[in-house]
Amino acid sequence: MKLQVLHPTNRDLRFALGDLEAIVLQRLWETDKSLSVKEFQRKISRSRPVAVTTVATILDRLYRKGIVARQLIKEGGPHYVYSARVTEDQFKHVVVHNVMGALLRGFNDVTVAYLTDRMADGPEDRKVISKYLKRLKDKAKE
Amino acid sequence: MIEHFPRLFIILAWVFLGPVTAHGFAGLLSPLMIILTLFSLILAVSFKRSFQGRSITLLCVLALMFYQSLQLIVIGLHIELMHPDPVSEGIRHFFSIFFDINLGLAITGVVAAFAVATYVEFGKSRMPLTRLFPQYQFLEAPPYLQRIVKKLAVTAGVQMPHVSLLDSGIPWAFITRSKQGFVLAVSVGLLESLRPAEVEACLAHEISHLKNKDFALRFFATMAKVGLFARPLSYLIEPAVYRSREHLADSTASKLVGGSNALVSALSKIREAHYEVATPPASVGMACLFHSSKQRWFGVFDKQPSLDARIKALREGTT
Repeated sequence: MKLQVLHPTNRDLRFALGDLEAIVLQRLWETDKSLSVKEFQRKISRSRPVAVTTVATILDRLYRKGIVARQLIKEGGPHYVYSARVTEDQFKHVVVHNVMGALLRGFNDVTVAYLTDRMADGPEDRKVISKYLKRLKDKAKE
Repeated sequence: MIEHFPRLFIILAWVFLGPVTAHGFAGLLSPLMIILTLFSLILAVSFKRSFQGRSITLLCVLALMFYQSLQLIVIGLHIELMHPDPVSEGIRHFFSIFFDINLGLAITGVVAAFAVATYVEFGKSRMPLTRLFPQYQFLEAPPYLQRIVKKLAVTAGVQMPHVSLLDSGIPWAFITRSKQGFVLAVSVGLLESLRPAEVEACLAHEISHLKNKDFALRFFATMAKVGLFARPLSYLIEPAVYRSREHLADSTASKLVGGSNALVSALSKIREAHYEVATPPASVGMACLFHSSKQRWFGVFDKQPSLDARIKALREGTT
């Protein structure tokens, strides 16, 4: 999955995707079957008017990023049907992995210090940190 | 010195390089240069509002500039080799740096133009499609698409190009030259997001590039620009030629499908998607349905007119 541009000021999926990309992907996760571009456009148009050409372009972009899969159907004129390639959890995992990986590679000490400071505020967070520290120590012993 | 050459050579030299003066050839006064200049002016005045006339006028200006470059080389070498008289020797000495740089640029430009021409004509246009566009997969076009293209080619009176289905969700199409000859590639995205009449209008636009012989004209414009790389004006004229040919292809396509409504509708839909994201890759030697909408420097360096400009021209019925 290729997520080259991140938008730190945006929330949720829009942190890693454009507005329409986020809407399209959300609709894709809400449905459990593959959909054609026209079916997608009908679904999205209920809440926001959008052209078929725009949806086709957005889906192609998501496909090139490796977030959705598509299949070419030849019957009834060539068209694609799109389905999600990653679940919502997997997607979020990759986003966090990309961001944290980049921060740790670039600013290792500062990032670790920030995380421990930030997480040491609540008792639950302290438990999580202790758990991970124990895991680290065990790994070091091995 | 020139009097010692055969008569035919003297006549040709006069036609191409102008009359001989005390300082060498007066290139700007050569009959061919005067005829070409007058021809360009007449074209510019008589076809003010037609894209065909506009592009041919611009090409004439490029031809004039290229011809002037060739003149400069021959006249320059003549002065270098012959040293006709002390006066021109004096001028040469006075302007020696300017003269040598100018001559060097002219020679480099013409050599580069021939190199690029050879590459495009014998290299690029003979490559298979998969090498020209390695990022895309080309599939067999469905029979109904072949039928539409055949019908349009017959109406336009051109040879039917090879039709390919482009494995891309972005709505776009292009025509290019490859090892298989002319190939019209249509994306799946175009077929799935436009109505059949709109698809036909887009295909007619691509066929119009063949009908209007745009590949030859654009090839010449590119060569002239490469040859004139040291002349800033050529960087404005070459893209203007391309833009005129796009408008002309729109106009021809409207005639082929019996009206501009379908093409206007298709371009409007593509424009909507365009504002969001799409930027199909353009390449040398291809005529694309549309390209990036992000205009810089008022679009004077863009080879494609904006979709807005194309829709406006079609609505106004400019030919």
